[in-house]
Amino acid sequence: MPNTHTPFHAPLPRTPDGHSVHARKWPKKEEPDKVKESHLRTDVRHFVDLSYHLTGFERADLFGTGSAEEYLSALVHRVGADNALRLYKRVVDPKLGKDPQESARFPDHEKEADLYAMAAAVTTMWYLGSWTALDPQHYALVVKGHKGTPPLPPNETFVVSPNAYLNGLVWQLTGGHALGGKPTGWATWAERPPKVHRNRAERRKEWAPGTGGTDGGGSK
Amino acid sequence: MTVAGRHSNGQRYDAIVVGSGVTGSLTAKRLGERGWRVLVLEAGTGRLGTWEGYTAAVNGFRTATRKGPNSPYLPNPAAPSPDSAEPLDYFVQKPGGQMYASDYLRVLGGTMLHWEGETPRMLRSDFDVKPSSDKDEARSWPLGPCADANGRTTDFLTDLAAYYDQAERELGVAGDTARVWEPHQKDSMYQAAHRFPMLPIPQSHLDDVLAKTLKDKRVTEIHLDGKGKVVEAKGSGTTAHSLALTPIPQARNSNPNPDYDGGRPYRPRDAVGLPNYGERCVGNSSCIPICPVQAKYTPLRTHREFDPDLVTVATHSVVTRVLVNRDGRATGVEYKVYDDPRSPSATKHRAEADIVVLAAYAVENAKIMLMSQIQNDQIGRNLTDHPLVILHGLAPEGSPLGPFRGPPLTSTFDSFRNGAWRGHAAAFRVGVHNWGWGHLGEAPGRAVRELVGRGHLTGEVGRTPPTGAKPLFGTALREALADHLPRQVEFMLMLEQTARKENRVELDWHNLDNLGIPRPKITYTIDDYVKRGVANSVGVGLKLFERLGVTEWHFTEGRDHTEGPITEVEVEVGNGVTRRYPVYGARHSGGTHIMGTDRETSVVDAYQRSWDVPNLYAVGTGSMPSQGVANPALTAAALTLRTADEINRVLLRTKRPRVGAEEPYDRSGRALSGKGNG
Repeated sequence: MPNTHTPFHAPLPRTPDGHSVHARKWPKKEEPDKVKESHLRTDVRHFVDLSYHLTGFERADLFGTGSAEEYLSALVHRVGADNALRLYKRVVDPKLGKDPQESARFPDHEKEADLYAMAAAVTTMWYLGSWTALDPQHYALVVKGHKGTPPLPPNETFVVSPNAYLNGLVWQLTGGHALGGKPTGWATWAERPPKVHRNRAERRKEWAPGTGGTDGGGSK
Repeated sequence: MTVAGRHSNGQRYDAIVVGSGVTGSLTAKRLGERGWRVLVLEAGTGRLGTWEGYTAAVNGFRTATRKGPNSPYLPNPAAPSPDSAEPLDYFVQKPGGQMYASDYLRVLGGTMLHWEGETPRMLRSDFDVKPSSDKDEARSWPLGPCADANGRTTDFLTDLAAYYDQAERELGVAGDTARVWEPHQKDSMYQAAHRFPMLPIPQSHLDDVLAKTLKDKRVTEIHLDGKGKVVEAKGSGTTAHSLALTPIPQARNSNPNPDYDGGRPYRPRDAVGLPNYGERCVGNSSCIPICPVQAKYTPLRTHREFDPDLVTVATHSVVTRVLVNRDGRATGVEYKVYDDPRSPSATKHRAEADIVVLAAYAVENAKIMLMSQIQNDQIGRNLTDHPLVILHGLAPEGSPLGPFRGPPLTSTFDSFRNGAWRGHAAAFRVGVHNWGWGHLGEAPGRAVRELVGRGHLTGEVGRTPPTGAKPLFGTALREALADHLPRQVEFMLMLEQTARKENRVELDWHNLDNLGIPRPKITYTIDDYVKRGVANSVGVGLKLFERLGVTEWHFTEGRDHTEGPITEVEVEVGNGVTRRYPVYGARHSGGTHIMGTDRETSVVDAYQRSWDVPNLYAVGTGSMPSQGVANPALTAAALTLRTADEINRVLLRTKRPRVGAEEPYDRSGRALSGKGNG
């Protein structure tokens, strides 16, 4: 049994064999065309698949923010599970094939305005940690697309959580850190900044130099 | 000891201090050390004094959608604070005109909860104020010999230099004497033998890159003509200004200086409520509005050093007036105590004291003096600030500068703080920010929203945005941001402002706050002296950009300027092209109860004692007839410590302090208590 006592946190709940109750074994991930609202809502991997395409970051980096679950719940709360599923199907569309042109996955900002608005909101949320109020016209379309209950909450901007702000993906592209947290340490600001990874390929080189790396086993 | 203000009702103290910010705290600490009973009345709440309350404020900042200076701190309708983004929220000002947009914070610890932590000393020339035009009266510091309560005469600036040393100890300043002295030399308030308590905070990689680029291009100085305009080459009447990047002294923890104070190094102060934490800056880059680890000085540290038997701190206590008897002496203060900040109900109380010290920052000090009906026409006048202009630039491709790390500012181009042109245009400092375009509030947020919203960034001077760009997602978005953000450069141009009697604080009895206290009515404009300084400093900033290969980005084009809180100044940037630059406030309020040599032209004397009420003192930046371009906290702290010692001498003339009080020593180890100095 590991020593879980720290001065600041109550011990985490543990299973009898000493594992965290959160470390459950994931069931098999549903195929994109079979994903239903309930899958999207309960298994965060589908939402991370969607976000993988929208953000241009590795799945491991997305999980690494610690915010995947709260972003998923923010999305479902703000636009409804039905709209969220439409967005998922549009972006993670199996019909696009194994390796299509990346831009084919992104909804057009004129022809698919509501899907675009939701995609933009999800992307911005991952980068900044805050949900951004939609353009009023887009919001009206999203409300129209929401058939379920309860009705959608008001259209507003908010920071999802302190953790979400600190772990916004954008900070990884600055060479620095979120202002107000995750500092780089005494006098590090006098040194050259760490290399910024422009894309997944550059990121993977760091994980496994010389091998091309792996993104942790998720499907493309 | 922190208590509710009601417990102090009817009690008598040796001194009452109004305000628990840096000046109030230093006054109370020092008087407590000398054995006097002190009551500190704080209008705001006291939740920041605990680690839990402080951490809640840190998280308040992280979740604020608009990350302004007051964003971590809960709004308090019972003791409202102004907001720099909403200057009409609390201040009463004429909308549409130029506005006073500097804020402050009414909470335990005061505005220095969200200060940046920069502690330069003023220059000697900064004390010698010239009127900015013939119409203005001279506002001079009471320089020259000055007699204290014991009749001992000292030279004002010599005395102040010694108190600067003490203030640097109280605040815990890190700095590099040789390099701060170098650009000014004889004009400097530092002496060669001076040592800072702590070793310098390292200059940022960005500072190094800029310095190296200038060195490689052999650009070591810049020439300004007799009016302060940039000229291409040396000529008759031009002044050469060095382009050395001076590391700025800062009140944040670094490593103790082994040479300090004859080999008795300063011990960095740890966080309030979490021992052995925050003893060195880790570079959270959020000094404004809150340091998560408390490596930056805040007055909360000074509160911890109060003598618990002698100094009482009462929060939720809003002083409404100083009580003055028929002989014209202050007998105490009247104050209101509230429980729930949202409720308009409050109880009224009085406390008595031999000495009353107003330390509530410039605007509130003036308010209290006006509410006390002290008859001096200068009260509230001469309101100043440091007007602030921000330049945004993008460094050439392939040069990662490492922004968004470290303290917000580690270096300034310091040589423009004085020059032959200074009688004509405001002096200025060019600071290099380490937080990207952080002054915009949400620098990376702006870039993300633009790219996701319309597929391109706007603001680059001389480039029209592409038409028909598609919003960016995925790898394209990531690459666009990675190519842009590490190249952001921001220059801060901080300008001198001279006092003008038209710039003033008054009471607006038609606009009351929740407790029925009049809100401050503010009249404020920036004059031509400042505007010429804006043009000159923008000229220098853009010349530096040009030399560094940095392209300017500008965000006021096409904005509607007819309304809004931000004053803008039109600047010619060459070839007949003009651009409008917003002028922000640096929240360095000053000058509402300036010191001087007589009561006709000033409110307080050289010891910050009221000319009108002899046992009333008004301390802080409000006493400063000028600020030069030095961030004023250190000077205010030094003036306040000097005043506290004077108050001690005044009190000793009629009474004796509590026995058993800690024997205080000055830096040479000489006892400062009654025996030595009384």
